[in-house]
Amino acid sequence: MPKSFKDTTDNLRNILDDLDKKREYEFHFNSATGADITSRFGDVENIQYHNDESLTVTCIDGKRKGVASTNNLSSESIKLTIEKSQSIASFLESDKYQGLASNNLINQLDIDCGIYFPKEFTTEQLIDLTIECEKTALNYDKRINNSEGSEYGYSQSNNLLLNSHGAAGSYSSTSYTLSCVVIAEEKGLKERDYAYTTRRNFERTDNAKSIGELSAKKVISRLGAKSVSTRKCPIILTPELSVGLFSSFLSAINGNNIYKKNSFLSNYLNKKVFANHINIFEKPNIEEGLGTKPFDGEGVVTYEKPIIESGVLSTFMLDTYSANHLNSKSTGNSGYTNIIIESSNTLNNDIVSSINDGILVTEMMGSGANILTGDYSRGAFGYLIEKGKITHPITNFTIASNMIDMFSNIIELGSDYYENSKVKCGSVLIDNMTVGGN
Amino acid sequence: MNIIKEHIFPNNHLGIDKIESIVSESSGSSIDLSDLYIQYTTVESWSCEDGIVKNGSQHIDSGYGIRAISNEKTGFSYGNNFDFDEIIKAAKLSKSIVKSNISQSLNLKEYTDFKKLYISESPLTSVSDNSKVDFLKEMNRYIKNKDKRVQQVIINLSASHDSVFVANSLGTYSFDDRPLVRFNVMVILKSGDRVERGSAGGGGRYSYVNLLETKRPFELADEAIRIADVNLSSKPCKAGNTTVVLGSGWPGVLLHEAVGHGLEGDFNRKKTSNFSDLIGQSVASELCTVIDDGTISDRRGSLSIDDEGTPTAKNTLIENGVLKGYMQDLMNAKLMNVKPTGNGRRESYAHLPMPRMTNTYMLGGSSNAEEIIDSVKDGIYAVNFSGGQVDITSGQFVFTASEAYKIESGKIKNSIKGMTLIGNGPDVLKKVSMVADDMKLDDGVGTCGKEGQSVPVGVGQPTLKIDDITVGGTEV
Repeated sequence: MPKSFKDTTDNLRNILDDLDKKREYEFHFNSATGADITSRFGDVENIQYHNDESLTVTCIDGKRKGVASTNNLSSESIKLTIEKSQSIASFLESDKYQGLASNNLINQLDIDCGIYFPKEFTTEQLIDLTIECEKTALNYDKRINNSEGSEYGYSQSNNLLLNSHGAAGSYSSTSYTLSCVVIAEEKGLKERDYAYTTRRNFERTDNAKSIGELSAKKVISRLGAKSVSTRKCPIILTPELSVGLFSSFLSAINGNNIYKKNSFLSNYLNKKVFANHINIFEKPNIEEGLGTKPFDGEGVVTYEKPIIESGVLSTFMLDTYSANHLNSKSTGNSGYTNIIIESSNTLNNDIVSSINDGILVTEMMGSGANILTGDYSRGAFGYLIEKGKITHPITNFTIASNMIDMFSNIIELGSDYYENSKVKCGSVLIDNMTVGGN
Repeated sequence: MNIIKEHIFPNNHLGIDKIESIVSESSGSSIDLSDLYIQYTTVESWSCEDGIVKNGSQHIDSGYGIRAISNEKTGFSYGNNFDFDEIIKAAKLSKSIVKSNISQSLNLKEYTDFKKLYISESPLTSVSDNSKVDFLKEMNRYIKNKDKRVQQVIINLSASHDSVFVANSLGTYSFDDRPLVRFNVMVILKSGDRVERGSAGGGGRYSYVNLLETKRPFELADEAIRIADVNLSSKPCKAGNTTVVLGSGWPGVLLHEAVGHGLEGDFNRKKTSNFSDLIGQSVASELCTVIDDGTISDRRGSLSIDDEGTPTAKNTLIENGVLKGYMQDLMNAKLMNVKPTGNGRRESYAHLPMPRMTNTYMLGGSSNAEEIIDSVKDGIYAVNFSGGQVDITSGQFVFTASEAYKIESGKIKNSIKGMTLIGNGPDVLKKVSMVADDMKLDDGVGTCGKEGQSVPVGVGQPTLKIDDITVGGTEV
């Protein structure tokens, strides 16, 4: 743990100890340092150095909750922030469900959870990586004639949570990300695509050449896209897009959407949501996991649990407030950690060859996933599959269904697990989607 | 009151002489432009849910960002410790992007000769915290009494006050104070087995008084209930190509996505936009004239000066279908050898400026809305959208409607649900076949995201007809 973080921790613990005992408080402190470096056409374009910190104070006065935050950690500013949280609470109305987390609280500072891999760099080293990455992409094919560059970003973050009920937890983490965005042109039509890698540990990031090459392959394969006729057919979502679909599911079982009846899954606890072969778990303690967290946003210890068992929803994801509303207990889900999607119908070979006619969707656009009704309607880019083979790229179409139907129409998953997200899953094959085109 | 001038400068012993030293330190022989941006922002939010005014928060963020530009390169560093030596260190770090040892010695002059488009005072203190809570309670009662089918109401009132200071190596510095107020209502109605949502909101750069002491919040509440009610009887939408009539006002978000982003200077300098190198050419139907105007008083997307100190302007982007110009910040204007247009914006001191929209709208035409609907045999009338996205390279855009209707034989019929519009910006603009005379700006709720930075914007347009566009839905 960096020394300045230790000093801040000691200081905030002392301040919390000295505060009045008739109200309750939660302190959440975050700090991060890092840099982003972009190169374009073989030369460095941007260097940005980051240095952020912020303190959020929550005050519970009776059953009233006030929140105030500041990015200035001077004693005077911390004092004013605490006073503001008290003042806001005093104006609000009483809400019987309000309260700080009080069960299963973290009580360990400087936790080593396997996500902190600090590394010293020179700026030149990172510039060289971005140049190598972009160069590989630009040299891949003559049709790649423009670039938005390659970017390397790293950050070291520290996270501290304290509350009046005795929660005290902190940990540090690192992340390293390399990306490349290139543009290809054919017959006057331009396409863009990208590739990236993000890891906790610098040593585990995909190498610069492979990211450059992947971005190049992706953009070239988009050239010459045709339109597609309106139809109902099976679609395959790439692992990256599957993450988005499962994220909508996670949002729909978030306790705050459940108690407000703001979710199409409000009445689905212990009922079937997915096809039988689907199992979903939360695993908070994976070494180097992008979602790994020893405690949640309120200081409740996170724990491993099934979410979907043989297609059936076994739990909502609750924080203290939504748990109080639902007469239940926090599941350590003020936020979520690593989510693993598994299926007994997992294909190890190419998922495309498992269907006759359909569409491989590689990009979706727009915000058409409605958590209230489950209605799903989004713009897409992809590839037409005929007789188990990809024939050509297709553009300017939409895919639509309802998420309830989509979840139960999942036929199989690929084993091509996506490593760049805290939601870990492979490609998903979904039957009977409506494709809107010409 | 500008908090930077009144508090940050005196408390940290920063006089203009010190500011001159900082900007001088970040400038030099191979630096084309350097600037120092200081910001102090206070944001508050109050909300009522489940009939209880239960959430209140205030956030204060302050800091400085220092940038050095050399040709196409930018070095950038920021921090929140206003100690002079710390800022000098940041200036050196920013300048380290190029090897340039000779610093300039600059004299800065205050630039004040711009039109103030809004009040300087903080909206947060324009009414008491008690009145904000009472207002939310009253709105909640109003909505609950208005319709028995109301299952959930969320009402939010928020405001921010942004004090900014910008000084650059061109020799000037300026102060600006930016108020921003916003009110939002979301209702969920339940009828039988169906639940549907309706939202509405409004706001601008003014005091809470301009909103709270008017009928506007009640009108917005009625509007949210109306939209949810319309959606309760909505039917699935048929996928395929059809004629679409877009309503006036907020549907201008389509213009923002489909055209606006592609006309931002950075994308055109890098030639990654599908509008690159098309100045003087026809990019839209002759009926289309598109403006970006940052100078409208009190509007959410307006700024007296942009985040680089350039006064905002009323810029014509497309005139009668012909591309006239791009939106520029200082860096891209210099590299493209054109004048800056007052579109250099940034989310905060911790972000780099780039060309961004302000209030973007299409001018009215000569048709009227009724005759446009009348002219459609079979199509869709889309009145509200919940969001959109664009790929500026291919021009591909996507929008999701939150209120839309079927049109049959010139008559508006049942409402439809889950409708997505997909198209290509320039293609679609060429298919605009009728434009009405009812140009309207939106209610003041737009937020635009680009490269991870959010800024408040405005949109607007008249009712218009697009002849052939792809619509997504669940029916075949």
